[in-house]
Amino acid sequence: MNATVPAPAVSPTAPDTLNDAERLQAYRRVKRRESRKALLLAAPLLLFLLVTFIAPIGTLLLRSVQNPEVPQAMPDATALLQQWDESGLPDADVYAAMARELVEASKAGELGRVARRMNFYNPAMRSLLLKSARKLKRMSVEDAQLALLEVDGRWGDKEIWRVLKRAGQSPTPDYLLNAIDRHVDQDGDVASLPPEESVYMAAFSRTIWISLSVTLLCLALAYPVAWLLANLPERHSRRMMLLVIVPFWTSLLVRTTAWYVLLQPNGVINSLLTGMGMVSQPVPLIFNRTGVLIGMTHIMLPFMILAIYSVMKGISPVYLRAAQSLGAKPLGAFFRVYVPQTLAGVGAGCFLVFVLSLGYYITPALLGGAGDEMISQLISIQTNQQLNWGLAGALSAYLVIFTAIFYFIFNRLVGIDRLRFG
Amino acid sequence: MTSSIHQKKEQPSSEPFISLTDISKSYDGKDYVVYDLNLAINKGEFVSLLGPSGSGKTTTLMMLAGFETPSQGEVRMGGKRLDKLPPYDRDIGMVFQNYALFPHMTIAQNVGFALTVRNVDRREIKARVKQALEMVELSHVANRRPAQLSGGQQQRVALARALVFEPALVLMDEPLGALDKRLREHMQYEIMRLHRELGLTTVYVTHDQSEALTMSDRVAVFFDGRIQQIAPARELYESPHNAFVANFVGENNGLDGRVSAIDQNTASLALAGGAVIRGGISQSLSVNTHGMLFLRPEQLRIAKGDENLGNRVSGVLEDIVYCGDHHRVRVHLGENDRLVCKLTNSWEHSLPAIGSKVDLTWRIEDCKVLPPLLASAQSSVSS
Amino acid sequence: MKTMRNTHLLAGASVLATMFAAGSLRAETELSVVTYGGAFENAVQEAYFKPYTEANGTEFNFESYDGGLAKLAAMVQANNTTWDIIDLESNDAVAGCDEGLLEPLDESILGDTADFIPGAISDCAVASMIWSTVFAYDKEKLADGPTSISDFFDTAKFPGKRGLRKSPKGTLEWALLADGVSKDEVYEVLSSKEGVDRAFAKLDTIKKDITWWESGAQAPQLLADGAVVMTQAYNGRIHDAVKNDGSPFVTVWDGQIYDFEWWGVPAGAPNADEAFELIAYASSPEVVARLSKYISYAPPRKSALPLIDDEILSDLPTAEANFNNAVQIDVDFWVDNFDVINKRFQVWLAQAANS
Repeated sequence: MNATVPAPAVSPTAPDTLNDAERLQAYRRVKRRESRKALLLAAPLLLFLLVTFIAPIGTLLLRSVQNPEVPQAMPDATALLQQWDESGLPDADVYAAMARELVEASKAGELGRVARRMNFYNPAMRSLLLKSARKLKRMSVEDAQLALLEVDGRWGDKEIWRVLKRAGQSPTPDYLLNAIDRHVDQDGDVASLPPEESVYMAAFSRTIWISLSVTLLCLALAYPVAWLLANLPERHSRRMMLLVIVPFWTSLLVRTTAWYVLLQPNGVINSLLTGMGMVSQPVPLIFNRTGVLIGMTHIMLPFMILAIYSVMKGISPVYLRAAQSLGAKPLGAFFRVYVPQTLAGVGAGCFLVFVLSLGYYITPALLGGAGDEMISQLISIQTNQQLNWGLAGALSAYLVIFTAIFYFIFNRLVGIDRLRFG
Repeated sequence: MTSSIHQKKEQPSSEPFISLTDISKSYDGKDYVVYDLNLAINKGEFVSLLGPSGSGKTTTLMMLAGFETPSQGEVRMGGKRLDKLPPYDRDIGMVFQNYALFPHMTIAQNVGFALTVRNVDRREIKARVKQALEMVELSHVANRRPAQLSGGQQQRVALARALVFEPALVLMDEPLGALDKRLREHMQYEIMRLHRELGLTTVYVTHDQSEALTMSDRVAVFFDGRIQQIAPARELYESPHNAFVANFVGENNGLDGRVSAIDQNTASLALAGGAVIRGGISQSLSVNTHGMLFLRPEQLRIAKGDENLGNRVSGVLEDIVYCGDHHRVRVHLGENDRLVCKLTNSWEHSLPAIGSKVDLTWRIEDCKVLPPLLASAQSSVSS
Repeated sequence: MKTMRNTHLLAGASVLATMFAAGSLRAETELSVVTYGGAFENAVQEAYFKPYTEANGTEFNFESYDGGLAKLAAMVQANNTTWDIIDLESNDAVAGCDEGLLEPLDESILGDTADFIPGAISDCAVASMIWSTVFAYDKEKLADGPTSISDFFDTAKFPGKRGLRKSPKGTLEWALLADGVSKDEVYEVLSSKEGVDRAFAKLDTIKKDITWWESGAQAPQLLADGAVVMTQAYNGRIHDAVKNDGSPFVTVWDGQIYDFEWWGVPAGAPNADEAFELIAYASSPEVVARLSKYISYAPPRKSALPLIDDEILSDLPTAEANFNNAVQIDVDFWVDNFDVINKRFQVWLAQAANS
C-alpha cells in the first residue's frame, strides 16, 4: 500500500471572519426586533398583571416589614428613642418630645393609628396613649417627665419605652416573627410566645393538613372519573363533562349552603340514615372536619378532574393493549403503563387543588367547627377587623413562600412544567 | 437467545398451527365486520392480511390477539382453543401501528417489559434485552426514551419488544405505515430477515399490496368482511379469483362486457364497442351474463402490421405518459372502454402519435374473463 | 328573556333619567349611605330615609358592607372618600374615631344630650339604636325552657347542642355571668389573666356541646333546623323569625349583652354637612321612635320610649322586664384586648377539636 500524502490543511477559501461577525450581528438585530414585537403583544397582559397582581402582592409583602405609624406621627420622640441604650429610663428630652408629640398626633388625628399599632405589642398601650394624650391636652406642661408620670405611672416602666423604641424601627422583623408565634423579648432575643397565644403555627399546620387531605380525597375521587371521561364514547363523555363543569357555573356560596342543607343533623343525609335505621343518633357531618373536607373536596373536584382528564385524553388506549399483549394482566398494565403516563396531570391537579385549598376561606367558615380555622380566615380577621395589615402581610408572605416551595418540590417530583393542557 | 427463539420448521402436519374456523364478528348483530372466515396458518409461515380499510383484516388480527372476541366460530393455536384466553395469556407478540412504545420507560425497559411482568430474574432480563437490542442493531440507545428515537429506530425497538419473550406467534398491525418509502423498504427486509432467522410464525396486516406481495408466503385478500382469496403472491397476481382481487392487487384493465360464448377453457367477452376478447376462465361463468376482463397492462403490445397474439383490438391513442423505465399508453376503444398498456422504453422510438389509430394485441392465456363483483362490493370499489 | 330585556331597558332608562336629573337639578344632592344591609337597612329606609327624602328632596343611595374599617381606612388614606353616612359597630366607631377615619361630631346638633342613654354619644358618632345579644330556644321542642344564662351552661338540665357565635366577644362575658360573676364586675374580672382563665374553664364545661356560627343569619336557621336546642343570637334576628316566619322561638333576656349601633360620617365625606343634618333628623325622638316599628331594636333616647306601642316595647332590649341582668359591652376593653384574647380563643377552639 502506498503511503498516502495528507491533504493540505489549508482550504481554498478561509472563513471570512469579518463577514461572519456582520452576519451574526444582523441575525441578532432581527432576533431582537422579533422579541421586541413579541413583548409588545404581551405588553397589555403584563401591564394588567403588574397592576392587578404583582403590585398588590408586592405591597402586601412590603407591609409585613414596614413600620411607618409611629415614626410618622412622632418623628422626634422616635429619633431620640433610637439613641436610648435601654439601661435606665430615657432622658428628659425623650419625655419632652413624647409629651409634645402625643398632643400633636392626637390633634392631627394620627394618634389612633399609633395606638392601634402599639396595641399589637401590648394590649395596654392603646388606652395608655389615648388617655395620656387626652389628659395632657388639658394640662399645661412644664416638666414633661413629671407630667407624664402624673398622667399615668406606667410611663416610668422601662418596658413601655422599649416597646415604643421597637415600634420606631423600620423595617421591622416583628410582624414576620409574630406570624410564626415568636417575638423579641425584653432581652432582645427571639422567643416563642406562650402557648395560649400561639395560634399561627397551629393554623398553618392545620391549613396544610386540611389541604393535603382535600388533595388526596380529590385525587381518589377524580382519577376514576377522569378515566371514564377520557375513555367513554364522545357522546357520553360530553354529557358527563357537563356534569363536571356545571358546578363551576354555580356560586360557591350556593354550593356550600347546599352542603349545609344536606349534612346538618336533621338534614337530608341524616334523615335517610336514621330513616333506614342505620344509625340511631344523627351522625355529626357538619361543623367539624368532616364537613370541611366534604365541602372543600366537592368544590375542588372539578379542578382535579379536568387536570387529569386533559392528560388522560392524550394517552392512546393502545398502550394498555400493548402491555397486555406483552403479558401484563389488566391491573398490572394499568399501574405499570397507564398510571405513570398520567403523573403530569396528577401532579398539576394536586398542585392546583393544594394551592387553592391553602387559601380557602368560605367553606371552612360555614361547614367547619371549632378548630377548623384555616390561615386565610385568620388573615381576614387581621385585615378586616383588626386592621393589622402588617401581620396580615406577614401571614400572607409565609403562605406565598410556602406555595413557592411546594411548587418547586412538586415540579421536581412530577414535572408540572411538562404538562400541556388540551 | 437466538437458539432458543429459533423454532425448527416442523414437518407440515395435517393440523395447521393456527386455525380460524367459521369466524364471524358483529358489533350489533346485524352488520358483520367479519363473516364466515376460515383461515389456517402453518408454523413458520408469513401470512399477510391485505385489504382496504374496513375490510375486516384488522378485526381478524385483533381476534387473534384477544382484543376482540369472535361472535361465532373458534380460534385455535397449536390445537388449543385461543378465543377463551385473555390477551395476556395467549403468548402472542404484537407490533402496533404506531409502535406503542411506553413513553415513560427507557428503550431497555420497554424491551424488557414482557420479561419484567413475567418476573424473570433481573440478570436474565438484562442479558436478553441486550441480545434483543443487538438483534435489531440498537444496543447504543438502550438508555434513551422512545421520543428521542427516529421512526425507524422506534419500529425496530417495537420488534425487539414483541420478540424478546419468544412468542409462539407474532402479529404486526401495519407496522411500517408511518415510515417513509425508503425506510419502509429497508424495514421490510429487516422483518423478513428476522422472520427467516428466528423461524417466526407471522401474521402481518397491511393495506399496501406491494408490501404484502414482497414479504409473505401467502396473502389473504380481504374485502367486505370476507377473504376473497388466499394464495402465494405469484398466484394472487397472476390468477386472481375474482374481480376484486384482480383490481386490488396490481393494475388491471378491468373492462366490463357480456360473456358471449364459452368453450372448454376459454370464454369470449363482448365489449360495448363491439370488440370481442377471448380469455381463460378460472371460475364458473355462464353465457349471457356480465363478465369482467382481467388483463395486466404489461401484457399488451402495439401490434405491428397484422401481428396477432390471439386477441387484437383497434382504438385511438389517447395519451402517453413517460414513467422513467416505461411509458403508459392509453388507448380508447370506443364507448367507455379504454386499455392502458405499459410499454418498456425500447418502444420509444416507434411510438405512434397521440390521436392516431393503433391496434393492441395480447395472448389469450395472458387474460381472463372473471365473474363481476357482487353488487354491494362493486359500489364501494368503484369509488 | 323578555322580562329580562325589559328590566335592562328600565335600568337603562333610569340611568338616563338620573343623568338628566343630575344635570338639571344640580342643587339636589345624593348621599351615599353604607349599612350592614338586610333587615336593618330596610327598617331605616322606612323609618328615616324615605320620610326625609319626601320632606327635603335629598336622595340616598344605599350600599352594604360587612363591617370592619378596612375599606374606610383605604378610602381615607387615598383621600377619596365616597361615603357620606356609615352604619358602625361600637368597636369600629371607637377605633374609627381614634384613627381620624370619622368626622368629629358637634353634639349641639342633637338637641338635649342628657336625653340620650349614657354612652350613646361619642366624639365622632351617635348611637342609632340599641341591639342585644341574647339566646333563644324553640318552645315546641322545650316546653319548660331555660330562663337564665346559667341554664344555657347547664347541660344536665337541658341536654343538647348550643349555638354560639365563634368569637370571644360575648361568649366570655356569658361564661363569667353563668359562673356567678355579677354583671357589673364582668369586665373587671376579665381584665386579669385569672379572670380569662375562669371564663375558659366555665366554657370547657359545655365545650363539646357547642355548635359555632359565624354570621347572624345562621343562628335562627340552626334553631329552626333543630341542629341546636338553644342558641346565642341577635335579638332582632329572633324577633324577625317569630314575627315574619311564625317560628316558635322564645327569647331569654337574662344576661343579654347590649350594644349601641352608630351613625358616623367618614372623614372627608363629600356631603358631610348634609350627612350630619340627616343624622340629627334621625336622632330626634319622634323619628327615632319609628324605627322600633320596623325592627325590634331600641331607640337610644329616653324620650322616645313613651312614643312606642307597649306591644313593641316589650320586645325591645331596653324594656324594663328585659333589662334586669343586662350587660353593656365594654367597647374599650375589646378594642384593647380583642387580639390577645382572640388568639387564646383560637388556641382553645383547636384544643376543643382535639380533645
